[in-house]
Amino acid sequence: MAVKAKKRRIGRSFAESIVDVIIYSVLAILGISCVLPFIHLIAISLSGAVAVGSGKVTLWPMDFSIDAYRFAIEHPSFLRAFSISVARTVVGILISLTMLVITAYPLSKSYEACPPARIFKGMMIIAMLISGGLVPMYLVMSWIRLTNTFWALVIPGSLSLWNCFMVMNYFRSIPSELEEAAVVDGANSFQILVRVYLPLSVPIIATMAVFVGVGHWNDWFSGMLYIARSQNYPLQTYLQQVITIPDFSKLTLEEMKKYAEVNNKNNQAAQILIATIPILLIYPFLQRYFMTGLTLGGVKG
Amino acid sequence: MKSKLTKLLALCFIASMLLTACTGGGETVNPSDKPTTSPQATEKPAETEDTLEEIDYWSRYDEPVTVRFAVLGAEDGFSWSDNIWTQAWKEQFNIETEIMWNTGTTEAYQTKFAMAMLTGDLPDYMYLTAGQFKQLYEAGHLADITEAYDKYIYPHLKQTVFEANEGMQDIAFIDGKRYGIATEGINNSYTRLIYIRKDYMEKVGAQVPKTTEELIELGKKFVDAGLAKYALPLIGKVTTEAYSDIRAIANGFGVYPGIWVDDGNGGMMYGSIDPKMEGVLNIYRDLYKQGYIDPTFPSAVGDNLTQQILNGEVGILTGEFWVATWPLPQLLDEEGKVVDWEIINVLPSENNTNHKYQAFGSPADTKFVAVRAGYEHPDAIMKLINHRHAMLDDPDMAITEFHSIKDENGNEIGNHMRCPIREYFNSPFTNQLTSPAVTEAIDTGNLDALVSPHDKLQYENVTNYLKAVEAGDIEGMNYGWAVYKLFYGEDSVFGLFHKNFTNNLYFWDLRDKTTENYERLWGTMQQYENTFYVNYISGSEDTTFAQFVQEWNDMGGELITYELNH
Amino acid sequence: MRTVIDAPPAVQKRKKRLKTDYMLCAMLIPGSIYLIIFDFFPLFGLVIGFQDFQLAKGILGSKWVGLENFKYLFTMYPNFWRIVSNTVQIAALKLCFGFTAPIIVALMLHEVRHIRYKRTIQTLVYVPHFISWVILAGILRTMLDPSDGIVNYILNLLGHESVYFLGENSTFRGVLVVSDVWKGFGWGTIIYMAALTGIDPALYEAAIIDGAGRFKRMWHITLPGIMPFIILNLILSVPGILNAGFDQIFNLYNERVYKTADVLDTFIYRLGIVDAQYDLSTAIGLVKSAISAVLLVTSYKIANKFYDYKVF
Repeated sequence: MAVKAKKRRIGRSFAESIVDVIIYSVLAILGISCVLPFIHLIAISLSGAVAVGSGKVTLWPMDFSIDAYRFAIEHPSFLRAFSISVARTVVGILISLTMLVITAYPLSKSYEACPPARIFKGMMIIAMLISGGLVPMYLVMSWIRLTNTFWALVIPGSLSLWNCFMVMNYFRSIPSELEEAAVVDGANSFQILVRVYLPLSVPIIATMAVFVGVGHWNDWFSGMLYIARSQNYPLQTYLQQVITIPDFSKLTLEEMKKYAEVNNKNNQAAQILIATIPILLIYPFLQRYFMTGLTLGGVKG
Repeated sequence: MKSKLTKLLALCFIASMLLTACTGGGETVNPSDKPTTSPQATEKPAETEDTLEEIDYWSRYDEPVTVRFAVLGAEDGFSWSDNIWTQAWKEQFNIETEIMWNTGTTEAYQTKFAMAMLTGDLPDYMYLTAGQFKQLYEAGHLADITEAYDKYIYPHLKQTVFEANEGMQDIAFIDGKRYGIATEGINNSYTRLIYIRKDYMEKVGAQVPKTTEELIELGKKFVDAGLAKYALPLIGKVTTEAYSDIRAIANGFGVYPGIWVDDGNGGMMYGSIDPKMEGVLNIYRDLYKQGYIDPTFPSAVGDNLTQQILNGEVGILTGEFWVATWPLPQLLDEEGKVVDWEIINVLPSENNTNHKYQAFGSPADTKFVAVRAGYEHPDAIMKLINHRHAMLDDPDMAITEFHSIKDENGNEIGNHMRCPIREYFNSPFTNQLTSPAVTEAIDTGNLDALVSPHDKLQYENVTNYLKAVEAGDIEGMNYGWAVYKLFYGEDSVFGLFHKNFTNNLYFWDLRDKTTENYERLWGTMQQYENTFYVNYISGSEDTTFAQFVQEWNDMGGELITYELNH
Repeated sequence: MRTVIDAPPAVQKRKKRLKTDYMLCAMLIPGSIYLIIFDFFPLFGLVIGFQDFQLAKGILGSKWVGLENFKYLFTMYPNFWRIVSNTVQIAALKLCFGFTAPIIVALMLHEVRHIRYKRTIQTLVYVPHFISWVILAGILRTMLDPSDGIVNYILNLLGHESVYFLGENSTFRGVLVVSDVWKGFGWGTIIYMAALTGIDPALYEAAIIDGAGRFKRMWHITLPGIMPFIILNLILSVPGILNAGFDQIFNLYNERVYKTADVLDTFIYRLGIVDAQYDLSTAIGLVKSAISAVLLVTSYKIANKFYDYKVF
């Protein structure tokens, strides 16, 4: 009996290990597929222009050259766009987190403590269901004189309603006993928020910071719409214009040459990679918060 | 018909911009040949100041005047608000330049301009399409510039450009008041030409073809002889590709796709739905089936064709004049010389006796210079327009530095379009008149034939080329090949254009107005047309030509045709 | 972010405070101002959709035409229905694959016992989610280039002719769907991974003792464990059926593939901006917005009823 059972287990584990091998390899392929394009791009950015033009560069550079990176670094427009994106991301995160926290906090409380929360939530639902669209939004932005300013990049969208609900849910998951202790000490709501809630909310705040930051870093449309001068474009808007194929019939020969230079595949690859680096750098650092932040902010139970 | 033509011609403004972009922009200008003029813009106009003072064309404002612009073009190591043009404006007129916004792409420009129209926050100087002109006029955003134009536009500019023909400006008047300056409309500069590689003709022992049928046969011969890869080059935009499209062949059969033609009943119809078009498409379809057309043409773009040309895979091209300036001179033979091409007019088909060449655009597509309503100094904008014209095109005042903009290190960074006013206000006939003038000056030695700075510049270029040929200087020959092909002789490109024009051999777009439905639907309908043509040729769609015409009419074609005819 | 706000947050019973906390109320002021300015003011602009909008007359002065714009779009505008069908088709394809892929990957990840391996894979598959479409479009253009792209290089090695993936109507949608699924599948696993950790390990132990095989365990324990999330996710995905992905398509498409790739959002953009048809573009935006709102409310109601799902 015992022998039989053992035998069966061995048989099964053989089958299982085949399944294991399959699963492990499929996952490995998927995982690699997510980074291969970037490796390919790195190879292109480090190859000579001729090699790239021949289309034979795969995963390893040919005719090694760092000219593309030199071009990017010495290219004033690129650097400027990069720094504007950094500024926008930092400021955007600060504004957005502030808005999210001070709005989500009262919403996480009972309606008795904060009666307007009921109305506010109603407003949020309406806002989530219907939006005015591009043209009316632009009119409003122009009317409050935000167009053509840096603030047009960071203020709209600073209070994302979904994010707000997530922060709210997270706050609700914090045991109220902690708060009650502070109330006994005579702290007001704002002090409780800062002293009790915020220190306990690092995961959700970090998660929000990533979402908002990535959103800002990746946004190109508002740059195109709201920023007056092309030299003040954030990086993604700049790249969008570099990568988009222009209408050649409207370009002068010099512009075509310039286009060809900036859009030389190597240079383009280098610029794209540099634009991706900040995200990849902060990413592992913040990844560990995703699970906690997202689980407690949204998924409960 | 004759009077109609005159009227149309009156509105015609040839954008020799492109030519200047390619040649005047420094490509063929030998630095040593440049007149030793001071780069300072003020000098020349200053000389004439005394005589012109009473009319104030060049006078300076006591207080600085600011003009605001919106510009299409990125500022990559270049400043739209601080460059040779704006510096000259400041010095000459005390006019300061402010850039409201600028964009890197056409799409972004359109977006921002649409938003500016909506909010009314418009630049002081505007260059508008007919549709925008109408919309902004109705919204009260355009200034009445009747007086400013009459008083401040420089006579030479009026004579040679804006009023080169009677009635040209009528379209800019609304209720007796002028709200803009009509510029570009129709032109014949973008007529199709046929380019044939001479060395390939020699290799297959062929003569220059006389008919479209012979041309197609020659194309096949090139392929069969293993010289070219495809008989007739074709890429995605089959009727609007400046490089090489089907219009050259269509014209040979008396079909004029893309423009509005006589319907035989006193009205007009759209050339692309002409029943004869089916025959033209069938020719391409057969060639495609037989492998004489690039199988990937539906998705091919200009870059692909350039590559094919440079690889020597192309024996025949059917494109616009500028192909001669780029990329053809880039193609060299074993000795390092530019490969020579025979450049000829579109050829008639065997049975086509009444054959004409297709000109492009419609007076309804006229563009307008306009000034924002409420701007205090429309006169300042008129002065800038004068200045721009004078520096580029006036026989006495033009300065070459303005044709080619350099950075501090003397490297060329752009042509005359590196100016907040990107438009080039020049004579509608510049290139066509230059060709006979240059030819005469060289053949007879009579330099008085050269009138405009453009004439002189091209004369220099052509003589340099001829000298290089004599001296066997290959570099010089390669350098001047395009200009030579364009300007020297009766059968040069602009010589041909000139001849066709004087012999009344052009077929003009008859559409003279636009309608709301036209504005609204045309983009979509053109897309549909192109998609059908592409799919028909490549056989990837079963739709017949008749079905296409039906569908086109249903989409709004019938409506638009009716509106345009009434 | 839709997927992560799934399960009901049980509102905790608190001691009822009868007194209004004015400090709390004050904290809602910035948010209220924000909502009014950026969400409610633009709503007034929607009236353009019911007008024959003239720049000259503005929103207040333009003539009201009732439903004319809508009628015109639905009955007259060429290609309008093709664009609607493109939108739905592309969105449905993306939903189909983009929805199932994360489930399969999550189930596979769940089978991995080496924590470090699992973590590494997770880290890798999340990456594309964070890259913008502008950049991915650049990468795709590079890789799919008909003349020197790596994909065509490989095709050529295999003896296949080059394909211009981004320029052919037959391939463009495929590129859209594959790249969209690729970008999102890793991130989509997060919710399922979270749910999977909540499954009681005792269930597996019991199943093993009962001699249940791997697939049986997956079928009878794992899948039921995450089924609520799967269905919830599906329900909540439906309102997105009119969002085919503006950023992605706008940065990848070109005139040649309008036939298969032009969707409502790109159409609204071109109509409203390039052609300056503010009224028509607003009207169509409004229709899209209204349909999405109805779908959203419905799906939320369903989710709420059957899964006790609450956003707030």
